[in-house]
Amino acid sequence: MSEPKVTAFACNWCSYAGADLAGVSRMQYPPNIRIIRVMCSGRVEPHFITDALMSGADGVLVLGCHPGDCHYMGGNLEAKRRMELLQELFRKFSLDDRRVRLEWVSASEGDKLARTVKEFVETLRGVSPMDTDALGRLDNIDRALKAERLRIVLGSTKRAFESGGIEEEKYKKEMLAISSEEVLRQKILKILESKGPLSAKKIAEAVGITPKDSFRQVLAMKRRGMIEESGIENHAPVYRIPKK
Amino acid sequence: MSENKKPKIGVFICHCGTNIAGNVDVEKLAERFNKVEGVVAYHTMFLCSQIGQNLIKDKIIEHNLEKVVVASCSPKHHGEIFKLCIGQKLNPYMWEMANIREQCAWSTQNREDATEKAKALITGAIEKAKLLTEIGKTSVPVTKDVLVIGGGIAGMKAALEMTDKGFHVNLVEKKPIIGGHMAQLDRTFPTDDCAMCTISPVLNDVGNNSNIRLITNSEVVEVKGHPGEYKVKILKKPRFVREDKCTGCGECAQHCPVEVPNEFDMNLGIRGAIHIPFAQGVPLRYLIDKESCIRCGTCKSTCKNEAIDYDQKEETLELVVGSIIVATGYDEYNLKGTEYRKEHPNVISGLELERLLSPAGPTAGKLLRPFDGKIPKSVIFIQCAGSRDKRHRLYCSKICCMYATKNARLIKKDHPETDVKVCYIDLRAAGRNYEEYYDKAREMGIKFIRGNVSEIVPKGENLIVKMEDTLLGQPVELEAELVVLSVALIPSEGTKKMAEVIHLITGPDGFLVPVHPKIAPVDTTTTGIFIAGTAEAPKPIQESITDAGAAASRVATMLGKDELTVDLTTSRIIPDKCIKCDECVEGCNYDAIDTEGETYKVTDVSCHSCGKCVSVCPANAMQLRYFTDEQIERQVDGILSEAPSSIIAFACNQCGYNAADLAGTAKYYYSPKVKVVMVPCSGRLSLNHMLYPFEKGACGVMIAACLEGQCHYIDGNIAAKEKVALAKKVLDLTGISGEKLQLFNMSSAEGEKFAQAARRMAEICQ
Repeated sequence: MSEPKVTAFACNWCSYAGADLAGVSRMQYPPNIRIIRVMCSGRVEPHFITDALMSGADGVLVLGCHPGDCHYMGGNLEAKRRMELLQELFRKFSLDDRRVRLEWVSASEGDKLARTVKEFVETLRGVSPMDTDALGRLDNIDRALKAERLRIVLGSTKRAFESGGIEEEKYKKEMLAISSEEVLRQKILKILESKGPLSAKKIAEAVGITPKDSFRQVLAMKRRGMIEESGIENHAPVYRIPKK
Repeated sequence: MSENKKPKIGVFICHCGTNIAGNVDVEKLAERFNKVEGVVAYHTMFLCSQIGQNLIKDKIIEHNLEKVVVASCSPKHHGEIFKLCIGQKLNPYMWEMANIREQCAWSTQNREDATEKAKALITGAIEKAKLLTEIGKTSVPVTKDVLVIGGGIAGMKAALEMTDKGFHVNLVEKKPIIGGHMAQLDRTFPTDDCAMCTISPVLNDVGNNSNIRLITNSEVVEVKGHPGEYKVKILKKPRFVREDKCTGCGECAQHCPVEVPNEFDMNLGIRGAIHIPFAQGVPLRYLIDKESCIRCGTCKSTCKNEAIDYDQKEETLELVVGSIIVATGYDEYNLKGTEYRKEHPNVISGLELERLLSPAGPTAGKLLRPFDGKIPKSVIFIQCAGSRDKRHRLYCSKICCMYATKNARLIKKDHPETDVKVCYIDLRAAGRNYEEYYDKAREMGIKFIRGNVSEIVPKGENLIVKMEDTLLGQPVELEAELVVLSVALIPSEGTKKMAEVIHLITGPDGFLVPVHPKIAPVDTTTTGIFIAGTAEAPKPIQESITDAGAAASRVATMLGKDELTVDLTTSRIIPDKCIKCDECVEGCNYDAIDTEGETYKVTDVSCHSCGKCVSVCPANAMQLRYFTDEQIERQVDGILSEAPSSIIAFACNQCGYNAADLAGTAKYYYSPKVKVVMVPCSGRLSLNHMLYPFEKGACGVMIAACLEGQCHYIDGNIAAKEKVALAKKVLDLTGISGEKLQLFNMSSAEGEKFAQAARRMAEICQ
């Protein structure tokens, strides 16, 4: 295996400064890492991570301030929730969740940065490469993360908890359910893209769900304008992606 | 009592053609009673006729009669006629009826026995009549506002009708929008016009009517007060959307990330947490379903009018209204898990099909089966699913034959290649243009198969309907790609709840019971409260609308006057005897005892004249004006003086007495020893009433009361039950067996049960 490539998102105030300190202190760490500076770990949208992985990164590190130290109040906690969700989605769709990691690195923790990078690169050496199937699954997750419905849910976590109207655990459960459903919908869209108009039953066969669940997804996707009916074949309506 | 002060009583005995005279020697009776001191007696062919009524009126004048005894049919039958007739000459309560038709001539096998029984019954009536006193009236002012409960087609039409008559209406609907089940329908029989096209103008008329206060997402939780002034408490559930700010633009719902089944679409379609059940909903005000909302705040940030309010709380509204129309409707009977509906997505109910056929439904009007979204090539309708079935509901749901035929026609019209069958027990197409509509369905190629369906078995994605074709006399198995159950209609949850809150009477089927199914079909036993639509029974839309008009008219009759007048047949308190022990206050279910003043008083308009307070008063300080202790005792005396070893049957006016009438009407014979004494409610009976007949030589006492849980005065029969248990012990102690006193619970409809009870008493008391 060639050397693992690591993309790291480091927040401007703590972790990026921590990385500087590591350099200033002449601490050595593997050269596999490419650091991208962001103003806050809360700026890192989960699809940045999937994007990086799809563009050839073997692993992604997100580095932020310690809890309580965020210069924007709670951006790091937001990052934590997103990371947890992403890791759950990875597990759910049989991807190795060790490819993504979140660490708190303060401006004075040059050593921690160096240690984290070392460990992470070592971990990645043990992760088997993604085959076409796995890349396809990753692509579904990536598309789902970019879809409006999931972006709304992801972007509202803080607001939801702070309102006191919902318990964190319940919200996380709902968020995972909605994410999984969106991933499934991306899978359906890809099938429709490649195999042309299909009936609910044919979609079910192609994506491996029951015809009843497929019909429900079809109704829901039609409601959101993601697909449209294009005609009737063999006594069943067939669906396609609307032309833009 | 000196000779000249003896009351002059006229006894009028009716032949009723041969109905009475055929089994009772009326001439002999008249002759007999003419010999009784202070009594004049007459007999005539039809006492209820003009000739008969004139006879009564003429004789009142001629003999200067003070009281009248009418010996004829049941007071339930022609009582009102005689009350009006006698009321023209005397106080309308100065008469008593002896029921010698239903409870004598028709229920007794032998002419001689029947004549003897009639003699005893008339003597009892004469004795009671001697103690009758004049009963006056009282009046209270009425509040002109009306409350309509239920915003379905019946409730909406009733509300509009009321505003047309100039009244202000409060329309309370449990759901967030009005329209009821009709708004869910695709098309309606027998015209096939689109339900939404018919109903949406009505929705808008209600929504825009300045004389209707529309209170949606709300439930009536308490009704107190009295006719003309009901005090109503309404619980308004939060919408979490401010009704004064929401414009119904729907921007919020477009972005809601939540997706849950839409109840309005019978869970076949999808809605967000913020939603409106259907696009033309009135009021067009969105609401948040808090159960599924994840509080992401998207709606709040989307709404430009700042209408979203997550902190909205439920409110309690208080209203005062003069009258109430209950139009709380029906629900579909849930057959899930039964032989009809094992878990299979391709078995759906009638309402589910309506949503699939509706252009505004989840499939935009395409018939797509839930299993896989395919257009079924064969559809079987199964009639009487849960109706006319001892395992489920006994009654016919009335509308299913026609709506299944309608849906079968609509499917056949859109998909001529689809095989459509209707499996029925009896096809009931009684209604204008219904038979023609059904004929056309046959012409279109829809197959009607007569037979009982025994089971519906899943076979992969399809279903096998197992049934017996009763015309061919052989079992058949039919395969279908979609099965539609014409499910029984049951009273809605709201109907059940309102029956409890307003103390309305329900039948064994749970539907509300009117005072009389024919002559007072929208009146309830509570003055000022009326029923409209399917809360009363399953019925088609046009009948619900007819009901609505009738109920509105009845309300207008009552509220059109400035005052409500009631007869003082109520309880009264004798202040000198009252010890203010509060037994009556606790016993009364209608808050009719006024404890505010110096002495306790009965609020006459609230009093239902059941007499329970009288039976619980330890100080003998209460009396019920038309059923005093003395009147009841003298009536028993009268009966026993003619027929010493009788069985006295105290029958409650609401159920037991009607059951006794029905026993006669259905010609269920029973021992002539059993003689009925009417009481308003079994709760009127005190311990003394139960024991008194034994003192006077009766060989048994039976009490015919309403079924438990169905007392028309809520719990009078339970009070009676407790007293009977005690009285039985007393009888055992005195050496008379407690067995000789029995309480029987029965409904108005259980004539046979009365006859059986009477026969059993005769056996016990031999």
